Amino acid sequence: MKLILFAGWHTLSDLEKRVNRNVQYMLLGLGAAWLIMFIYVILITLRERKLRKELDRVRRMVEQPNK
Amino acid sequence: MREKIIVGLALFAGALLAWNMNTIFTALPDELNQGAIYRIIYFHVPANILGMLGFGLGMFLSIGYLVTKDLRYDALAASVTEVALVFASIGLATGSIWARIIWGVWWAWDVRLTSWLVCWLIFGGYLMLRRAVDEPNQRARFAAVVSVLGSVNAYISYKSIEWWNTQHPQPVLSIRNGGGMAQGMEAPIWWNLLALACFSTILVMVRMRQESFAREIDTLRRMAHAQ
Repeated sequence: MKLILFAGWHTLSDLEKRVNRNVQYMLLGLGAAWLIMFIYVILITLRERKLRKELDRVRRMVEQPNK
Repeated sequence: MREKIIVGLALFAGALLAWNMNTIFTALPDELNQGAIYRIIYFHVPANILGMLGFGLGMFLSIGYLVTKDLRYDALAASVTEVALVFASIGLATGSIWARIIWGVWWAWDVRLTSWLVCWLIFGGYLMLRRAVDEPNQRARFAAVVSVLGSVNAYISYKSIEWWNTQHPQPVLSIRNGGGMAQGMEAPIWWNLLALACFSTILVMVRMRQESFAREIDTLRRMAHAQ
């Protein structure tokens, strides 16, 4: 009887571990998807800022070539 | 006008994504064999579809450039391809994490995964090539050829799960006669695809604006040198 109870407890524990691991990896997967999108949005925003600055600088250079 | 479209699309995509996340996490049950991990499909499949569609659209735009020599086609092709590469990266990353649980390995060198990785590398090379060549027409011509070659590979990757027996599952979506999912479980894939498509449209519009800034900078620099 003790052996059966122990085996049942052991199996439940393994199942819990499997379910937890499953949920952890699901969150990892969804987190990775959001992270990649987030990083790209940051990169594209930084590039936009850099391009605007450069455009202003070149415009000034063309309008006032001697300065 | 462009700003209004971007804000409108962002609001729509954000609301749709929030509603989808609510459905995915609260309304849908765990899958019988896979448990909770199957929910990765709601990003994995739409991201890969957008990646493949983007590479395909980039190819048609590249052909448009080769035929007309109009640099606007090239700018749009570059924008679409860059965004498609981001979604292909999401597809590869989510697929790898899913595989770790279901197959017990992070990666398998089967035809689908390998051809998609090769595709990702080709289009990564496409973006590097664009940075390496300064002359706009030469850059557009080289990039167009790479885009066409890469898209052929993307099509092979798309069909690979029908043509070969792969570790990757055969088609599961009803549109490809897969029929492997209950209808209630399949619908959020399409809603997420719509939300991510709106989001990718915003990204392409922003990238297009950047391409026009870059062209203007290039023109002004030439003027400054000529003075």
